[in-house]
Amino acid sequence: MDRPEPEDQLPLKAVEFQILLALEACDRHGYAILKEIETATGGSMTVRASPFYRKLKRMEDDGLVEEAGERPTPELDDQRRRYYRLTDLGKRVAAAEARRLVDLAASSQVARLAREGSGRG
Amino acid sequence: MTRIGREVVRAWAGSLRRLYPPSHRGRVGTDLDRLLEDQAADAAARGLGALLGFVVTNTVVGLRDALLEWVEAATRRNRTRGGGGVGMGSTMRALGQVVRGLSRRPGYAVPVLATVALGVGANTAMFSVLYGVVLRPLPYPAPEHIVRIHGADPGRGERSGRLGLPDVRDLAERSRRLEHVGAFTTLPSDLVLTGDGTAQEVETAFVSSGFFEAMGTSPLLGRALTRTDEVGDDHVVVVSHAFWRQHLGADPDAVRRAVTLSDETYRVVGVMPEAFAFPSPRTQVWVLLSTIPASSIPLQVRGLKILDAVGRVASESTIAQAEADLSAISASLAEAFPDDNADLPGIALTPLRDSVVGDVDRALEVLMAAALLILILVCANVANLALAREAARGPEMALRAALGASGARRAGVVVTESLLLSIVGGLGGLAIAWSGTDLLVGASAGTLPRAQEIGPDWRVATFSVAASIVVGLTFGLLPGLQAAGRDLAASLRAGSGRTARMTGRGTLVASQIALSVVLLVGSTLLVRSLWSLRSVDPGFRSEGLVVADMTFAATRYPGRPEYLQRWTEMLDGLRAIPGIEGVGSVRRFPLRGEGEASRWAAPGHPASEDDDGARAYVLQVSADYFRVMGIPLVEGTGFGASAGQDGRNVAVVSRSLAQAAFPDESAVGRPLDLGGYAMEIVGVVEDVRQRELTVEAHPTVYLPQLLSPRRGQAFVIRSSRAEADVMRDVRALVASQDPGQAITELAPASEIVGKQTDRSRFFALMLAAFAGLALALGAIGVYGVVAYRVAQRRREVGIRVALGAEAPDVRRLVVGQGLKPVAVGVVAGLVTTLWLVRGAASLLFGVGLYDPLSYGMGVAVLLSVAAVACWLPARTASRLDPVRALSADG
Repeated sequence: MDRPEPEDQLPLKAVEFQILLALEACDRHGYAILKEIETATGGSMTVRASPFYRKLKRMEDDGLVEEAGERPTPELDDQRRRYYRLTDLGKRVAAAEARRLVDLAASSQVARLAREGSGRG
Repeated sequence: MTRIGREVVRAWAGSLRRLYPPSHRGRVGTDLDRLLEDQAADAAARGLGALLGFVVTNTVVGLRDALLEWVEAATRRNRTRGGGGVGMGSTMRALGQVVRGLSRRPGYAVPVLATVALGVGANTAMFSVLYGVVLRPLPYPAPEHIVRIHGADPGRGERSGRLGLPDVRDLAERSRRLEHVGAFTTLPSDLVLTGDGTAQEVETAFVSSGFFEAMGTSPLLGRALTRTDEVGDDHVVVVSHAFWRQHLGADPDAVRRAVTLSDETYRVVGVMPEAFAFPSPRTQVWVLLSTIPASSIPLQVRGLKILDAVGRVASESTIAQAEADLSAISASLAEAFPDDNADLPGIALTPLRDSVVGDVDRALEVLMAAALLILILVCANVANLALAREAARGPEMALRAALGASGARRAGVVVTESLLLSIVGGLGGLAIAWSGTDLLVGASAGTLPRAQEIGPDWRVATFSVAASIVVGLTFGLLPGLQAAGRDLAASLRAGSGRTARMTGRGTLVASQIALSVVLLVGSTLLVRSLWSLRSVDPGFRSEGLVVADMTFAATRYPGRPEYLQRWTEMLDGLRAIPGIEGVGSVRRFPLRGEGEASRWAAPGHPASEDDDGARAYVLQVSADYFRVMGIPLVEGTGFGASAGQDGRNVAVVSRSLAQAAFPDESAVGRPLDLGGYAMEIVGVVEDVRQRELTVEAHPTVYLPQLLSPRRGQAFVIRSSRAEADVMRDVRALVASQDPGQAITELAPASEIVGKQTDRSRFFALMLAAFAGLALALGAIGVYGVVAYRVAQRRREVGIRVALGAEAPDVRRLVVGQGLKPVAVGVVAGLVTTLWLVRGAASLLFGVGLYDPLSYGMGVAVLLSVAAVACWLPARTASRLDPVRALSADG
């Protein structure tokens, strides 16, 4: 089987990228991921529980995230929680998506549109 | 969150997780629960509303996603089995398989579809009525701040008195708790629209300038009526949306046009939006009270209390504060104008919603609860059908399983099938609801307020879709789980797994029967209430009687001689109408309110200070009143033609007053002290229900109109002619005698009586329909289980018959076993009913909450239907040919 290329997964949906970003810093359980997304986007992106897990499962199927083997110290742990972490592929996909966004932001057309948008607002 | 709150959320999150297919559940695990619990805690910190919103949205989204996962789980396995294709293609193929499977067995699909459609339809129709009438906010800005303002007398418990125009002005000026106050009335005769060829009455509301400001609705076109209009000479009118479409051709420039109303030219200044339905949905034009000439109704007279009023409570005040504020103002008015205002020294505020919706909300809630019971019944019924079908497919499924289909896959198919059926059935239900709602509103015979606001709406559609998904999940999961967990060997042996399954189905039947008992007993109670309501004797004969309410205005008939003269002319004129058998008059027609109240005392029965029983209703009547109304004279002579003019203070009393004052002796000829006046009793008449049909007659004193005259009188006209013809003649007579005279109300007496039973009839009819539906569903459930059991036990029955069992033995066996869950259900149902019935207490009349007859009848009807449902398969069993039964396979 071919080694999967990160570019095959691009472009990511905004939610998917946010999930990858949240897991990039450290392993988190579901609630912590959603909290992180909320903080990172200033509350502009909210994800409901059940679509979130469907998405997470799909990303797991695609090999971007996996269940973390290590759990926090026992006194902080809650057996009912499940911790997720990025796979290598996940890290590479996140990086590829980040590069794609940076390239996009560098285009003069995008910069002009952004200026016009803020000028009107 | 409290500990209990956390427990509830935990249980909710857990059950939400269990909706998912095992594959998904296994992957996500309890992390989903933990997340939901954390988020719920966050939401709870923002308030109860936020928590509720969170729970509702996540339940809906969760249901949707669980459904998607089941479908995906089913299609994914299709793919791995080499079914080929990806994505939608395979989903469609899986659906196609399900559809083909179902269409091969219409005996299963058709009853399920019909049951679901009926259940969802009934619920959706009921919900749209409940929503339109009770739940939907009134279509005015900040409707919770709008109040009806009434004169009140806390001492008498009076909270619905009317006001004079000067009162309304004073309240508006002095109150700081009300932002706007407007007076209105529909009492004067409607204006007549002329100009486009024909003359036609248009329903008219006469309002003061604050009316539209209090309601808060801006006109669709133009402007509302203002204070400037009140002082100007110009006649201006605001018209309804319907009037604008019908008479002004929906002209966008209508506000510059003029219309002719009752021979005056009115300039149209505004068109109201369609939703504006106050004071009545039928109101077509609003004109200023100031256009009524003082010569016709002297509105500036404080004592003329004929106006209703609405107000808008200031946003920072509560209704209670506003009521206290207005009551204080009103009390000072009563001091300043004792002659005019002492009768109603207080003010009562009612939220506009309550006054519009009235007391119908309780009844609708009970009906909605009944509809939800029906939905549960539907779930139980289709689950039962699905279980029976699964059981019948048992060996086939076991074979498939042996060939490699996983339990989860089989469950997925079953659940997909259930959801498909319930969604299609639900769409059918939506269609039923669409027409059913109109039917329902029609059947309500005008007893439902806000009927014009009832209609299909996205909330109603959402409700319907949610209801069908709930049905699908409930009835699909049970057999689905069974299919998944089937014990292969047991099913192939075709039998040993049956006991547990039958217990499950027996429980379903028992719960169906229990719900049917609740609905049957409930509807029997309501039907019995209606029966006793209809058999209440109001105390007079309403057939062939027409009532015409009038007030002789002080401006045209300033003094007593003038208006008494007018009253006599009216009586004479009415008597002269051809075919009239008798004419009388009374201060207030029965069932229309009590009239004035006065303390009374009799020798040996002194007036007590606080006892309500020591107040009698006082009604001024014409001499002929009792004869025309058909109120029987119990004792004495009644009034002679000269009563009230010969210097004697005569009175006729009602039977209940006579009994209270003179128990065990004749009241005729005895003295009666009435509010300080010495009266002589000349007759006793039967009691009449003066206030409402459901309220016992109150002690009443009748005085001759000539002795104690009143301007307002209801004329009663008895005739054997058609009531509509009589009413037309009455209207013509009044117009010819005095064109400025308004008839406040003109109606057949039977209509006045009928209106009091219309609503009860509607609710009884509705609940009876639900009960009928429940009975049918319950019977189908019982029949299904018994018939299935008979089919399963063909061999056993065959052996019994071969060994010499007679047909009656077999029937007894089958019926006995079939009735076992029924008996359990009846007991459970009775207990539930006894517990629930208190919630419906306000709907009952003349029948006890625990009326044994109603309970007995409900149970008897149910048992006989259940017995028939058992009997049919029992008969089949008893006719079994043992040879064929034993030779057949299985």
